[in-house]
Amino acid sequence: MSGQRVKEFFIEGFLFIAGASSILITLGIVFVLLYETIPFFAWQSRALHLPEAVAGHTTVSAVLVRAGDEVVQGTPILEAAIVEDGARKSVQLVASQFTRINEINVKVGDSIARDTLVISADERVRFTDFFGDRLWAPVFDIPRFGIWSLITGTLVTTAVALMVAVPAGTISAIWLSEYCNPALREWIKPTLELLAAVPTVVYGYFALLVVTPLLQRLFGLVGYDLDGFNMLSAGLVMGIMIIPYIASLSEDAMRAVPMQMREGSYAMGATRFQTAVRVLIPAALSGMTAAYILAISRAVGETMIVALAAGLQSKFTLDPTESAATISAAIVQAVMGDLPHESTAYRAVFAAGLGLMIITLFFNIAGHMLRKRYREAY
Amino acid sequence: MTEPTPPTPDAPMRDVAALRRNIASRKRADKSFFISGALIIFVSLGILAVLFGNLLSEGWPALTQTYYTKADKSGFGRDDLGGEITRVGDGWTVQIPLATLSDIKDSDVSKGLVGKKVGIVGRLRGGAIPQIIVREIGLADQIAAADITGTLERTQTPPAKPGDEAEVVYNILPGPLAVNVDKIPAEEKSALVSGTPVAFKMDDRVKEGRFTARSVSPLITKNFFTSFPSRNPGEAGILSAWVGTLLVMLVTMLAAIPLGAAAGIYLEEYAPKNRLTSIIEINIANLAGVPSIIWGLMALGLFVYTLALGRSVLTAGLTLGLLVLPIVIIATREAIRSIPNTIREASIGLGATKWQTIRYHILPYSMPGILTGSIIAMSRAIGETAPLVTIGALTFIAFLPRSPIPPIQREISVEQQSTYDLAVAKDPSTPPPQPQLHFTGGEWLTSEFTVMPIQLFQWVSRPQLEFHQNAAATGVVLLAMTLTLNGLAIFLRFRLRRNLKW
Repeated sequence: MSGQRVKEFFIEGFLFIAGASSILITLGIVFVLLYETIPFFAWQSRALHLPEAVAGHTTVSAVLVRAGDEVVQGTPILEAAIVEDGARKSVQLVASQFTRINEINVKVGDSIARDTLVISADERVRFTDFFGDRLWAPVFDIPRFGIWSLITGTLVTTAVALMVAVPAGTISAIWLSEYCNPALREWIKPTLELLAAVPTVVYGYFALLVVTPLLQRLFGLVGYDLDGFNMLSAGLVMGIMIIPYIASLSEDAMRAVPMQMREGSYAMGATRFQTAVRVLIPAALSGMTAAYILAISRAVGETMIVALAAGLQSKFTLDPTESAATISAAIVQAVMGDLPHESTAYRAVFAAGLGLMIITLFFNIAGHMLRKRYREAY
Repeated sequence: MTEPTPPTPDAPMRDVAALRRNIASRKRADKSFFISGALIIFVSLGILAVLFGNLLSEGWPALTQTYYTKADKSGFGRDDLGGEITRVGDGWTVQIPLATLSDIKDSDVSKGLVGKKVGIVGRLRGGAIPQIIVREIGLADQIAAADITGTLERTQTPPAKPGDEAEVVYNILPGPLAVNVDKIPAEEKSALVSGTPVAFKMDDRVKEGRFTARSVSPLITKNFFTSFPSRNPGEAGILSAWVGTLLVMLVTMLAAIPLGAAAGIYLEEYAPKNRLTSIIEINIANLAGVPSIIWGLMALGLFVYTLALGRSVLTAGLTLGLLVLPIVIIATREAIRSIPNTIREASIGLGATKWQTIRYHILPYSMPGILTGSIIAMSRAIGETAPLVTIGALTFIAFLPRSPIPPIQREISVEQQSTYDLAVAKDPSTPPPQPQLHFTGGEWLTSEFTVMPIQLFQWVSRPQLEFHQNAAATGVVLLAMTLTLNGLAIFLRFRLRRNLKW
């Protein structure tokens, strides 16, 4: 008997580890993202070894910084000091972002020493560049790390997708829950859910090679030349993809509304439509909102459709007929090239990923809490 | 919609007509909503049908074509000319699209040829409208060994800005263009039928007798499934992709199903109602919503670099396994939750331990539900592209990993051989080493790979139309797999609901 008990103990232990593994996985994700993002943002100091020039001097200042073709005076060098490391003296420069600098002249006492920087693996990026710049181009000669251009891309594609999916999904949900006969619903619902099961790369193909040419022809009728990559087509197809998410979850929420409420409404002489709009929707609102929020989270994180159909170059624009990269597309674009491990561009990808993770996490938690609420309501 | 005015006691039903109108308008609203709802659902389903139909019609050529090629295929692909072959008497003519001639100087000589039947010796550059790089041009009867003959046409585009030169383009008029098909070897000619789309090499290698013809069979051929990706879209196939998909799915299954089922059992049967459990639950719900590209980043940082597993089948399988883990967990929990408590009580009442109850009662009853969830999880994993692109699986793979079924070989290892060589040098009478068993079964795990969605992604990203056909064909196969898995899951769920009555 005690042998059995020991066995049971170990089995329970194993099952607990399996259950807790999800926490380990989450920690793994967060750790990896933070591990690469923190050094991406941290300030860095770089020592210029100029022992002969430094000898006998105690003051130092950066006199000329050349970033790209433009000469930057003062910034981005934040501090310049002479450091003694044993017998060796060197000039220590603290800079916010070495990425852009390719030449620094340092004044040591009276003499000017010069160092041409190569873009090294130790470059860091400033928060103000990350949130202030309007272009995302981590692999350019002078890299740019403006996350806003990616956020606008994500925003536009998501908005287009929601404009398709929210009305279509909500109407489908009402129709399925209130109008459709149950036997037919048993068939339609799983078939509709197949729309969400189609691999997203297939949707990407569809958006790029079917929907875009169609839109180009439509836009051509009014004399507008639509780009081969555009957020409109990606957003539309993404909208089709998330219809079942909204329809299915909203329908669940509506069916959770007790029958008495419907019957009360019918008894007052309301039609099915009036019952749906004035009784069901208010009653199922938290569940429906949860559906919308989860759909947003899904659209924000969607990758292959936008990577294929909306283009991979970032652009700060809110015009859906233009091409622009979303956060996820920018990640795909960056990793498609061979990124050197631990380079700034490599870390930039993780910083963008962390941003995406935070956005979707916010929506997921909100959706989860709302769903819990409607479950408790009735 | 107007609100119905409640009839006041003083004037009951004073305005019956207005009430009737009101009822009619409310009914109309109801009806029009019914119609619009049905319309939206059927449009959505229609889009699914259009998607599948489009993939099928676009991908059909790639699925059905066979290439007849002479031994030397080098360099083929850019210089070919496509058309449809027709038998005319003893010869063949080929309908090809309008060809633009490059490298013709706009001179008096070339202007003199306009409107005449000309013969051209040249090299063809592919594209939507093929371009012929002209080597020699003259009246048709003067150019004996012409690759192509047709009527010459000259078009002049007016300059875009004043001061620019007008652009002059020479075209060969569309129509049946006689191609010198006599160079086709007899055994390959016999494979051609009228109406067969064919492709020709148009450079001077044709004269050496190299020829490629593509024929389309009415049924799906195996070529697409047995060929590696290639620079030449017509010859490219998805062999490495589907093998890769199967291997990655094998790892995914082995990772996700046991772990997910175990986690589900723990949460339903063992987990105490405390803070930790609720954190785990919320956490699983959140993991299910993590975008797939984030899983890719996690795999890149953790599996590829920290654990140094490389861009391998193992990394991909584990990544997808973790990605679909929440699906398996949630399905397992739902399956277990639907088992009534009486079953547990009966088992425990008979003296069974907790684990025995689970092992002999809970697991067998929940198995169909777990299976359904696992199938759904696999269908999700099969189509995932972004995480695999992120771990760097976007490479040209024209080889297969070693077979996962361990080929047991009796071999003399390199070390044995070198030890033996040394020993023999000292003492020639040393007995030769005995062959030992070798297991090469695990090598596929660390092999580089490609999978079908990635192959599809690569082909869609290329500009050539032929690659788009291949992409569509891959899409058909991928979609067929996903829909089959989903259909299987739906079917199982239906069967389950019918057979199980507690």
